[in-house]
Amino acid sequence: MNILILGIGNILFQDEGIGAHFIHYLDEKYEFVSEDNSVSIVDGGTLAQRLIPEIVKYDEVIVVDCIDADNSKAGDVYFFDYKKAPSYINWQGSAHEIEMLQTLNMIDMNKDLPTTNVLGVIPKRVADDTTFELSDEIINAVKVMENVVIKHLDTINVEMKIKNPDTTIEHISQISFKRDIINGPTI
Amino acid sequence: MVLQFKFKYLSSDKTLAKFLHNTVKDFDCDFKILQDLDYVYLFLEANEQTVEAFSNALSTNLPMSLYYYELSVDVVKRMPSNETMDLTQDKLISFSPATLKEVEDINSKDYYNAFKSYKVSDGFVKDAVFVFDGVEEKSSKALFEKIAKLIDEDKKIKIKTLSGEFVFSKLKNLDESDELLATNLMKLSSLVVENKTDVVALASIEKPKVEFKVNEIYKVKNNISKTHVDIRYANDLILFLLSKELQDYNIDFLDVQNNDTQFDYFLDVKEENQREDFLDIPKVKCFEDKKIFIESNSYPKNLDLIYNKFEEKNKSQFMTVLAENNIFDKSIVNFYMSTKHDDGLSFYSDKFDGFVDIVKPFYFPRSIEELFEQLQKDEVGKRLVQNYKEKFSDIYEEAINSDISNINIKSFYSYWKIAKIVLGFKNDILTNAGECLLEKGPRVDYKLSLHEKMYEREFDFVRLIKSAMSFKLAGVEEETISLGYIESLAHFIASEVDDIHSAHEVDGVSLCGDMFTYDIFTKLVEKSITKNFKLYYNREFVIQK
Repeated sequence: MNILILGIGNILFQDEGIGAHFIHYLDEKYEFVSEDNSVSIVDGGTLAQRLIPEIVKYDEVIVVDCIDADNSKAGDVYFFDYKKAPSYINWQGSAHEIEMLQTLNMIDMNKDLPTTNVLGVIPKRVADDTTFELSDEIINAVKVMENVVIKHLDTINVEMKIKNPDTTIEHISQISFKRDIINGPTI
Repeated sequence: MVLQFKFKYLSSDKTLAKFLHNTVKDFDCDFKILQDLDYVYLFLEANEQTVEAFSNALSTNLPMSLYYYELSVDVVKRMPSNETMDLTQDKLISFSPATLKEVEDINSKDYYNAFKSYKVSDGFVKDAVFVFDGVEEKSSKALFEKIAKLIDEDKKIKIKTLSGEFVFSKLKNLDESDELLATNLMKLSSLVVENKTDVVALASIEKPKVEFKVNEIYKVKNNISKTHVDIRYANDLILFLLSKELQDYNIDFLDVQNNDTQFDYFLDVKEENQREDFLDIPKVKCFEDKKIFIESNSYPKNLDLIYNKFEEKNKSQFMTVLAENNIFDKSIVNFYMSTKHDDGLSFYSDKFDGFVDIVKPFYFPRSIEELFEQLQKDEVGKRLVQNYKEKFSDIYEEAINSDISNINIKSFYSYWKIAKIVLGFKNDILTNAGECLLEKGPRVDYKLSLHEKMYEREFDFVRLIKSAMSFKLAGVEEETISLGYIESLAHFIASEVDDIHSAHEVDGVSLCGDMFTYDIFTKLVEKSITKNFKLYYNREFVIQK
């Protein structure tokens, strides 16, 4: 089985970049071990449109992004099937990456979309200044997000082995714009 | 046994075919030479001994060429039925290693004969004589020794060469030189950063000019600020024999000036008839898998006719790419990107009976003030400019007082010039990116407005500036943002190709304009465009006329 973890978000808008930062964080901290499956990590910010037609080649996709939800607070984490999104969740795709969501919809309309789960987190939209720094709420949410991915991949026989235990989301968020992904697309 | 020698040769000239003919004709065998767009074929029918002897002769007789890439040899059933090709051509051919054997052999009657024409290599006419300082002189070692000595004594010598007249002198101050003649290719690294491909190109039968980067040690030692210099090697026997003599004085480079420069002595060549053909000195940029011509007069002249069919430079240039690659039956997206002319992005398909632009001509603000007004049209922009003003007040003030009315070429390169001012960069974006040690830069926005008609789409220069300002506010340094500018343009090109392909079938991508002579940009563009699309460049024609 070929699995894709796709991070979406504009890193210039603080917490809204968490999707992109988080997949760099996973990529830096873990190696993905499986006899039968492969895991590819893609930063949706870079050449995203190019990779969308490639999505159909995967068997399973995890999209990481910010979401809105009724009665939620910053840092709350949700994990749901893209096709069965609960009604209290409002996912338009990160404000600045709407092309990505549109394209996922298009693939779905063509009935080509593989099993797709969304790992969503509620951002804290605060300062006006441009910075790569994340809010404390989002930083704290990363542990939960990480565990969700570990558990989910475990159900499909992928073990996430820690290779760089000192990796932090705070550090990654400062360098993800210039960091090359190690576990890039394999198919 | 019929052997097929297949040479990948990306030129329509007959230089390689002439060398092949000259080698094979001395053997007892049947042969045919044919040439198509990408290959020169030699078919040879002979016994095993002859084939072996011919192969040995070939390895010593064939000169290196800018156009030659690889050779494959196969056994075929029979000779092709086509007639062997006609070998006449107007283009002059420089000396080959075989010529040098004749003039360097002390026992040869042609020892130090600078007028020697040998086999396919052209030279001055046989009965030419030198006129030095008003006196007729035969070509001799003594003459070249005398001139080398004068050069060592800092005299400027005007010399009539197969490429015309130039004034040569000892290199004194590199900052005042635009072009050098390397007298000894082994000594290149004393002045520049060399790489094998460039050095091989210098010595090739075409003897081009190549731009080299001046090495840091030389710059520091000689207090030089120049970063790049054009270098060529002797392309006729006069310069070759002079170069040999200059080695005794450890003069490895000569400054080359045009013939209107003052000189002390003139080494003229008297020929019976006024020379009409000159040996071209093309300027070339070498990539591992291709050569791009920056200056040249060696291309087939019908390309000038094709070029002149259109008024817009981007379309003219695109036409020459289509013609040289013989792809008028294909659907091709063209990116013409230039540092000197307006950029043009267009799509050619025989389904449209021609070209369609894929973006409107770029809009440029008349002042930085106007740009900042555009930036502040929405709330996010207002906040961004406010923050920028507070955090980088000096840069903001200097930018707002900068005059950009002279930036009137509508190109991405011009947008980068404006970005440099707004962002307060010390160096220009291409230089910065070249010095950036990272492999990846931040994503700068290159976006087109949405419109159902491709040619109505507008490039959003506000976002181009805005995104980089945001990165600067976030603390990203100058070189890294610059790399982002280059890399994101490469990604933009790639995603445009994908978008157009999803609506109209695209067969390939044409890349022209002098922006594609920059290694860093061309490599990123090639890396970004998916392998499904064939990339086309000019072959013999200059990449930007």
